[in-house]
Amino acid sequence: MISGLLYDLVNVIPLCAVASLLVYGGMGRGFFHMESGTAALIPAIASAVICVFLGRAPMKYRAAALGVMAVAAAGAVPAMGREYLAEVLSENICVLWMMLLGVICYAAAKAAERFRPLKLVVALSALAVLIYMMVTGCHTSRLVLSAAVFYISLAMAEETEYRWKKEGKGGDVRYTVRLLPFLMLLPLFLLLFKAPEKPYSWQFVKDFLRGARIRYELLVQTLNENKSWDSEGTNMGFSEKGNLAGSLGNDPYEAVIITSDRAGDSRVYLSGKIFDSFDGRDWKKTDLSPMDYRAYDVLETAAAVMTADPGREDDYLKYETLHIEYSGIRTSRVFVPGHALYVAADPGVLSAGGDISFSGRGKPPYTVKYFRVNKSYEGFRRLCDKGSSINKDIFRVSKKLLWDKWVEKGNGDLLAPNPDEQTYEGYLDYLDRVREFYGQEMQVSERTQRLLDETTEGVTSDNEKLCMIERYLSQMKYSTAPGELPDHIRTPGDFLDYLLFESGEGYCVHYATAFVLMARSMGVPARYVQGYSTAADKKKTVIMSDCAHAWPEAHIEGVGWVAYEPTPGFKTETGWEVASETTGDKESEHEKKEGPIPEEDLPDEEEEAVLEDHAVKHRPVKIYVPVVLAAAFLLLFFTADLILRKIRYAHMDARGKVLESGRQTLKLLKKHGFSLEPGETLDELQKRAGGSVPEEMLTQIGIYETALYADHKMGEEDVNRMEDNNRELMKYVYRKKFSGSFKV
Amino acid sequence: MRRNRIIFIILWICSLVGISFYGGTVSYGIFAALTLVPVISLIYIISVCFLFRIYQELDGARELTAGKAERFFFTLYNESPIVFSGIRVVFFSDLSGISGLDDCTEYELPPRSGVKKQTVLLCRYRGEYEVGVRQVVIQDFFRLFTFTYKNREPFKITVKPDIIHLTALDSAEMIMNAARESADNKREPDVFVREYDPGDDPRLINWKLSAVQNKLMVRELKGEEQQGIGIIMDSSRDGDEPLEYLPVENRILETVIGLTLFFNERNVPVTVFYTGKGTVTDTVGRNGFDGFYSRMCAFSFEKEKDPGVLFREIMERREIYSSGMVFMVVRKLDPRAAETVSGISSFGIPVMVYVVSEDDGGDTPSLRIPRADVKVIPPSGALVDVI
Repeated sequence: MISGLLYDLVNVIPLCAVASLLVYGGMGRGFFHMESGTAALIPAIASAVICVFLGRAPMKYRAAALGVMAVAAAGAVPAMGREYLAEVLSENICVLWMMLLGVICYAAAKAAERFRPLKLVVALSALAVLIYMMVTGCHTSRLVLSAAVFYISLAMAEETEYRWKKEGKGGDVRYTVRLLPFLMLLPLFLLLFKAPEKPYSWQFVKDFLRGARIRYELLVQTLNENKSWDSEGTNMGFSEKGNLAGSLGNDPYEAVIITSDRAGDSRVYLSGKIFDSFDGRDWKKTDLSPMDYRAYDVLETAAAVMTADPGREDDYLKYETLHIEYSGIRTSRVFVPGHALYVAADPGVLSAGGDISFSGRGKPPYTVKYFRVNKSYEGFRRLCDKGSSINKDIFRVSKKLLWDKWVEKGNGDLLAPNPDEQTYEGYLDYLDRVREFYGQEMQVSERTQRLLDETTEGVTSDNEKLCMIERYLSQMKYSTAPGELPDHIRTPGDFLDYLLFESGEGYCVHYATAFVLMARSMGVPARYVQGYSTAADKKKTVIMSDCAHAWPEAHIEGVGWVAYEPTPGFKTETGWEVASETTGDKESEHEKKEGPIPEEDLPDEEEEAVLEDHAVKHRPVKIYVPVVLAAAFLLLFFTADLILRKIRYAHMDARGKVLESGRQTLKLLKKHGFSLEPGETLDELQKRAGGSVPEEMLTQIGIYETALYADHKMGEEDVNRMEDNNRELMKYVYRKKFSGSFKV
Repeated sequence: MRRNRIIFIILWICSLVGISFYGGTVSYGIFAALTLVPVISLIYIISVCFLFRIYQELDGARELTAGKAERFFFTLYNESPIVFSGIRVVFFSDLSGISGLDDCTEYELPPRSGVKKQTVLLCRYRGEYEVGVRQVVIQDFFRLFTFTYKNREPFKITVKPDIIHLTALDSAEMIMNAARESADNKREPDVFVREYDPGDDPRLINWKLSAVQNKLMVRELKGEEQQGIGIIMDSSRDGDEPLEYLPVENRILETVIGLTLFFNERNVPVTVFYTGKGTVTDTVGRNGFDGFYSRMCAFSFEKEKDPGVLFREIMERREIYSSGMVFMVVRKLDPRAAETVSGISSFGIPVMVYVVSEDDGGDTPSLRIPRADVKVIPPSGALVDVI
């Protein structure tokens, strides 16, 4: 019987839990007036459990239970009053609904027990509900999941058992109950298991695959020494090609590691390759001059600074060192920040059109000496707006000052470049080349021109115009998947029109290209640069491959090459605070505090006490009356039952009494572990029980057996013997039970 | 079981897909539950392994005779409070067989209950080996995993060779010729009669005389002993696995014992030559069969017992030449055996060679030696049908 009870409970309770929590979740807290689903669970499960017990109980107890409920309900009406009762019921209607749900779940579980396919259907439905909730993103409590998984596993175990052909199958009930210790492990674990909210990223798989891919590509690069790094296409990384690839990949890996002597700028740009010609679809590099562009660029900027603000060069420029090593890339390119004066690499480097690459078999790590420009400094902005003009004297003086101030004293570096190699004539040649290659005439469409005019309206200097263009482009849409360029784009003008008026989205390469073209259309020499851009506010920075970037640089006459950032979301102020720019104290924020609740809104204390007192006094009456009535009913019911049984017994003939007493004997023995087994005779039961119970107390079994099967007339003597032995047996059994030494 | 595994793997893969696209309690919960199922199954199987009991019993002593069926009982018992979902018993089947029970039958054992089965055990070959339950296969309640559990206390028994009563020999013609020659040479012993003593072989009773005398009279052989039979037994072992060497050895012993009994029953003394501690000449007299049989039960074949050495020593001892006929029971008829046959038959003694081997039919070796014949006896099958 215990097995049967347990079996019913494990079938009913999970079903009940799932159903009630789903209903609670579906109807909402507002309907149930319950703070949590767990509270909604209790009435459902309670009613289901009551149904289970009543279902297993003899008819007498079911009748008693129903009678109790009826009496309690009947007693509640006059005790509580119709109005109050209606109010309580309406406030707690959800409890009644949940209780009804519990009864429905009980009925469903019992039906499923009886009809195996129905149980499978219910289990699969539970699984389907879970999947639906997962897909739609509904919040599911662990209790629901545990209950559902438990029910499903139970159904699966029973189905497996049903289909299993083997000897000794003992039936579903006992089999399932005996498996419970193992089946319970699943829901227990799920109750304790806290699941992440986000899908699993499979990072370790991605890391493994990425690592394998990098190893493979490094191996390929090692075997082909002359081949430089190129990760264009759908990858994310630096490319030596200037084509505007369709979409970016998303599989970053460690590319470069930079180490500074001290924490540097908030963002650093490392130039890898400079392009000068754009045909509408691809950038190409045609400027291959071996001239040391970078040295002239540094000199030009230094000269502009020294001329504009003598003695305060430190506010504009800082001479710093950067150590660079390559981690996941293999290339002959040398990545350098802007205004790099020289690169110390072994055995050396070459310059071509402003780009620097390793000479011979040189490879990283290497050291770069460069000037960090304080671009956020207002003075530098004014300098860019104003421009400058550098004559021969300024050039010479600036060069000397540059070397004297920074290069010689900087780090005692014996590898500083020879200042005699940079001449004023060389500078003029450099400017000519800049105009020739990077100031190419650019034809734009009328609407692009209108846009340019509107955007740059009200400003006069080149730098201000470029800043306006930069701002305009940075407000467009950033997209890593803007799609391939349409086939009809054949000229730079086509590209501009497409980006500005059709597509409206792109990533760095698109916006850098647009900026360069727009700058050139205004007569400002500009170049397209590809390299890496990353935050570098620490001494050591690992640059990932997805930090590959493209940006424009424009040449401001007399100032030098200035980098701009038109890519949406990438603009950051780079520089450092200068003493004269220190602002005042920040305004302190006012905290909002909630004041106390107005006194007039507080309930009157006396009034409250009165109300509470009234409620307390009347509560016992409302609750106790039905309870007392129910208890009284039970007492009467069982008393009446006892009396009726005695009356019925008294009116029986001798044989009837013997049979009734015999049944009592069997009940007594069953209570204490000696049930009549299937196929066992009463005689065998007597012998079996005789091992624990004195034989003289079991002799009535023989009489009972005779009354059952033999055509023997029973007399009063038999009845008395039956009754006496039963009394003795009862005393013996209860004595043993309470003394704890009854051996079953 | 395969279907359940396929369903489980599909569900697990789907759960992997689920957690890849959806977070939250359900996706991870289902994945965790499915991943936990093998763990729970493992725990269950380990529990069953520790709590499971096997009892085996043979009806009688642990000495059986090859080819003779004996009653065998085994009990699978579950002493624990958990149910054993699926237990399958696998028996030793190479050297012995259990009839009436299928290796594929699975049993469910409720708590504190057992299954007792009575069956018949048949040992095919003599020797000492394990019989009964070889291993137990335990399956979990989801029928996903099985664990094979080797019986840690196997049932080891000693099997004696079977005594096969030969009623006739195919080589009877050769025997008859040998007997005729003996008669011509007047080498038959005189036969006397005496009164019957309890214990005398009933086959020696002279019924005619007994009817006349009105009391039982038995023949008593006097004078020269009747010329006996010589049996040469190859005592070597070939092979490392019991399944390789036991059938052949078993058949050799059966043949030798059967021949010895055949002649012993006809009061013909038999001398068996084999390699024990050195070359053994075992003469089996009138009442000596039981002792001989015991010795044969305890006999062990060994690789080191080279038949060539046996043949050489037999030839040197010359006891073989007093035999009326010689039987040679070997595992192969190699040149050394052929030379021995030739040597013996050159003395006018018929030789019958029994080669115990799987090779038969067209591969039957032939002896072009007068008064010698060869027959192949397969290791399996009824000896009576072959000899």
